[in-house]
Amino acid sequence: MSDDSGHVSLDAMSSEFIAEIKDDLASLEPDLLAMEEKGADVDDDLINHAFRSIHSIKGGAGFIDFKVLSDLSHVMENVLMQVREKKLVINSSIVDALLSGFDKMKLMADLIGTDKTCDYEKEKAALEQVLLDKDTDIKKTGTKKKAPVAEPSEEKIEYEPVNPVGESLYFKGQTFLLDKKRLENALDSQKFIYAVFIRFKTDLDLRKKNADAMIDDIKSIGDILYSSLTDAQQTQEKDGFYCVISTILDLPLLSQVLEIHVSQMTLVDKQFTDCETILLKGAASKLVSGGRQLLPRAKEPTTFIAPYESSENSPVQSATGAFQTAQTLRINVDLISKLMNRAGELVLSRNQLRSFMESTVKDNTRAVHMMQSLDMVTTDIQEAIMRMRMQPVIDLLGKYKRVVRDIARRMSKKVDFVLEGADVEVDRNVLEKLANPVTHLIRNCIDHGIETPKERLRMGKLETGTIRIKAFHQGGHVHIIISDDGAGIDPQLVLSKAFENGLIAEDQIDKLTDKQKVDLIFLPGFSTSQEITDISGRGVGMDVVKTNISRLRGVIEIDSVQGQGTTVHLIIPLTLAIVPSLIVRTGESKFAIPQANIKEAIYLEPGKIHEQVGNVAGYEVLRLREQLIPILRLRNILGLKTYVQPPGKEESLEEKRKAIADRRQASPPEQQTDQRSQKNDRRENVWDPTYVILLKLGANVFGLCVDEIYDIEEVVVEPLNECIRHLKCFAGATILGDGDVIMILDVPGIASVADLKFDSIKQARLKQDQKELKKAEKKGEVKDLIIFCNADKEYFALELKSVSRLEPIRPGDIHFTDKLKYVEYNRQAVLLFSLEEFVPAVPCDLSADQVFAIFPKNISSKVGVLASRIIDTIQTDEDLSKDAACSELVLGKLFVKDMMVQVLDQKKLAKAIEQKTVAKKERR
Amino acid sequence: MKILIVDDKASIRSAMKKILAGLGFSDITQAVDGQQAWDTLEDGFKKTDQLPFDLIISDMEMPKMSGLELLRAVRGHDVFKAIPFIMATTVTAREIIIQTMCLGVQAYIIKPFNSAVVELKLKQAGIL
Amino acid sequence: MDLSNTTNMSRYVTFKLADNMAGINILDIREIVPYIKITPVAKSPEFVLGLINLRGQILVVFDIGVLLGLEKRTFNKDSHIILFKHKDVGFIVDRIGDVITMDKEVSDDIPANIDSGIKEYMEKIINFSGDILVILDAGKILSKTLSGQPSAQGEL
Repeated sequence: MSDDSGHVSLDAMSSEFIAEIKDDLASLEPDLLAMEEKGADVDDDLINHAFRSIHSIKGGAGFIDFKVLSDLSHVMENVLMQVREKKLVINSSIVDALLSGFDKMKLMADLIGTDKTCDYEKEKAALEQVLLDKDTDIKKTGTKKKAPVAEPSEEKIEYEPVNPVGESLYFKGQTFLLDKKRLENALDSQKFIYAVFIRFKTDLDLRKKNADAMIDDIKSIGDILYSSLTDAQQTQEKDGFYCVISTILDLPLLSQVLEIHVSQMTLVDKQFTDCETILLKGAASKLVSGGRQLLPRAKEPTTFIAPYESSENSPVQSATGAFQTAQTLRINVDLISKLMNRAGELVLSRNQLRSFMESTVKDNTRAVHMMQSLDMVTTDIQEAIMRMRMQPVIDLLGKYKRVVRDIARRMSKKVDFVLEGADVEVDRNVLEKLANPVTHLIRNCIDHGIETPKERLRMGKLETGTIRIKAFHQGGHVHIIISDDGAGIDPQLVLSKAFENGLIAEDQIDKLTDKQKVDLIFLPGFSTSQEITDISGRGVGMDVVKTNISRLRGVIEIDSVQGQGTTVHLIIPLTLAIVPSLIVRTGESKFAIPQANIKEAIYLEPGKIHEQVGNVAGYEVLRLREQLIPILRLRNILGLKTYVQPPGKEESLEEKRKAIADRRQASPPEQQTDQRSQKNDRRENVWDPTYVILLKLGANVFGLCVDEIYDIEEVVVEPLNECIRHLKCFAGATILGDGDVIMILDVPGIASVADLKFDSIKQARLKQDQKELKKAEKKGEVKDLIIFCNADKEYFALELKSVSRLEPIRPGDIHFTDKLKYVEYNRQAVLLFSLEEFVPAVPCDLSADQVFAIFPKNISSKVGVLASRIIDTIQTDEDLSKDAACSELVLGKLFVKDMMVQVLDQKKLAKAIEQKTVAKKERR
Repeated sequence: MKILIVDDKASIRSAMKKILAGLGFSDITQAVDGQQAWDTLEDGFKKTDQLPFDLIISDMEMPKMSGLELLRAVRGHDVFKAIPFIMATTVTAREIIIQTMCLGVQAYIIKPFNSAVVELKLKQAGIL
Repeated sequence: MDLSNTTNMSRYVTFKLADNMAGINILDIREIVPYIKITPVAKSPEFVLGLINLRGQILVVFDIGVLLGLEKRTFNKDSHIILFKHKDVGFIVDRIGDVITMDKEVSDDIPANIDSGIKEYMEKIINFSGDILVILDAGKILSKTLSGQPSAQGEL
């Protein structure tokens, strides 16, 4: 996971460690500062707490193999260990070294996962210096038992040779003979077997140990299987002796306990197998994640979701230290932001529902009851969610202890920092934005407020000045009061400075009270270059502080008494309802539409409006993808004046069109080019583009026409003042980034003001659909007709399917008998009737060369109907229209090409023919 | 095999738990400091009247009761003293090591550890 | 500007409203600001001119002339907005005059030809250096404008 340069790569498990490292760092700084305050009287708990933090950091750094942090924290730990053991007394310079180390550790923590490393030599050196300066020597601890060196006894011992492994020069060529039994015992109990070379000078003399003490130490942690001490002592040339030790300790631990360098130790070849690589290489370098990855790779591992321990037996508290008592849960910041947005939308919806209920169902007690429940629950949810983002003010203010300490030290001033009401909670966002202004104010306190100790004594004050910060909630606001007992602000000085900088006119000078004079420091341009010190910051004046505070919709006030001190009072509102909204413009005014209500935004092109916009049930509707969507013009709803600039003209004219697709301009602009119509049309021919925002209202959708749309912005919802609260169209107001105030639209309110009755539109649509359906059905009837006539312009037709056949007949072949006509056809006599016998028609001209006989189907005897001309057969789906003028046998009339054709009712005709035939037959 | 893990850092406990799971040990109980570990031991013993755990793996530096104090208490208890004890820690102060050794631990894990180290130490402690 | 009254004296800020001189007790005033861009609120009561952004806070500005029944005025850069204490509301005036100190008890006769509208909102009349000064009553103004009035305004 880490390459040689010390760079660390991140994996899932690492984020957990990193988060804990940062937590530990956070708790460390206040501890160090507290330790300094207490000085020699510091209590053990405090030291232990700090020690544990550093210890944890070291451990965590080891796990993610972040060597630089591990190394630095080790040195820090050493210093604190000395303090813990009362070998070091806390003083400011020690704390300086610790704090500088801490700062570097913090920097390192931020660099985890990046390619950067940082240099920490300076800080390390400072800490090591502290250790060196320590007066007392390391006392020897440990037992002083004078047990004899365990020499293997002489009786019947079997020896087993063992050889040290590794390349160390100390052990080259060495072989040790060990008591086999003891060796086997050691191996059986899975102990490590080391060969150790102990040098007389470095390991014993310099450490003020004698050999016996060393042997004692060894015995306390393991067994000696072999020792060449006596030999070595006798032959004084040797500079050390060998031991073979069995112990459960790993190499580094062994080295630590015996205070012998690791190069003087090694394992032997008879060893139970697995341990070599691990032990010889020291600490493990790879962290095996042992299973599936818990968490996605985090870019900035600030927080993440911790897996809740599933084991039933575990009484787990994820407290990071003894000082935290509350149960906590780490949650992703993005999740909370999302939740907050939803909460904002929930509140808006609830408001809309409530106002709807108030106007429509206020008499329905059940409904009112239910509304009240919903109301309460929504408020609770919103408050709870707001509180999730609340952080105790101490998170911010606590940091200043360090700031105050550092600056005071630098300026050689003595300053006490007192914090009251640290558990007051403020929304995270607000807290972040307060950081800069509060920092500046505090810096001012130290820089300009608190006097030097000498000066203070001279004035009869205590040498140490006090900066007090008090935080509390009141009336929906959080109050932060920063006060100091310093020099106060001299109104005259402020006045003259303001005057110098041209911020105030001469004649106004006398009119100001002292407080007003002091307030002049809020004027932009007040701080001059003289004011800018490294401490106060460049060019950051009180006006910027004031702006920052007002951006949070807060207020800042200053009270000062010369010689006594200054108090700055900040008042910030608690809740911030933020709702993402689309900014639109109609006419001169911009509006915000909450995104939650928006389905879609459509652009209507000039000229095309005509095709897309129609009229149904009295509303303008937009035809969109098979839907009819009612649309409203925001301009009309709100009664706004909008202006259009006709092309080619300088001034704008007030737009008078009410509807988008105003009928007076039914034809597209291209056609209106003639001068005459231009003159007559007061509004000229302007077709400005228009946007339609499709808004959701429950299951319904309607469109709102606006002139222009901008971006979606996160908008802070300000409730409406009492005198305009009743306006249905508006849900609130907000301030845009450029400082303009705009109204936030209330979508259901607008729908109700426009009296949108979705039902009637639906019904109209339904009707229209049905009509079209019927039409389609009817139109589906395609008929084949045969058209014939006796005379021009008097056409008749029969359905082709009811006609058996047509025959041309020569009038000469017609036999007339008794008003009957016959013709021979296929050796049979066919009765012929004339058309005019059934319907009013011009008689068939029998003097012509040819006539036609139409033989209808379904007639018992052979019967034909005469017609002069067959015109055509046509296929038509036209409807037949019937009126009173039609004779009985006519089904209906229709127009074909330019002929009016009477379509005969084949059935009735057949019947009529039957009757005539029978009658004629009877007459015979 | 019931194992009690004691460490005030959730990350360490979680890492150890995973490693133990990989080695086949799933019955893991966790405690955040020596005191809680001790209470857990006592509770377990009250309920079952047997050794509540087969192994204790403990950190050294913890609030309320350190690993050393826990070890001392365990070794001083007639029943619990039989429970194998592995000390997992970064503490390298020799006095502590010597004291721990004197009280008797079955193995000493230096942090940071990995699966292989734990496996080895469990072998040393006679668990594997 | 929170100077407390000395025993019997009251301080008033004077200002011009069309042709009239008016004043209001300084204790009722939170602040006086020069003209800030006003965002009109559609369908709002007639006396509501709109909203302003004062250092991050949204406040309502009235046209007090409407309440008093004066002629429609236009506003320019000399206009100022007087903000009331305790409510997020202010009203616009044509020009700010001096701050005057007067005995609390001083009150002059009400001229016969005074508009009834003015009467409704005033505390008293003072003759000041030959001018008739209408001292407006902040309480009356606020209670009449902020009493809700939804029914009076109808559906919208």
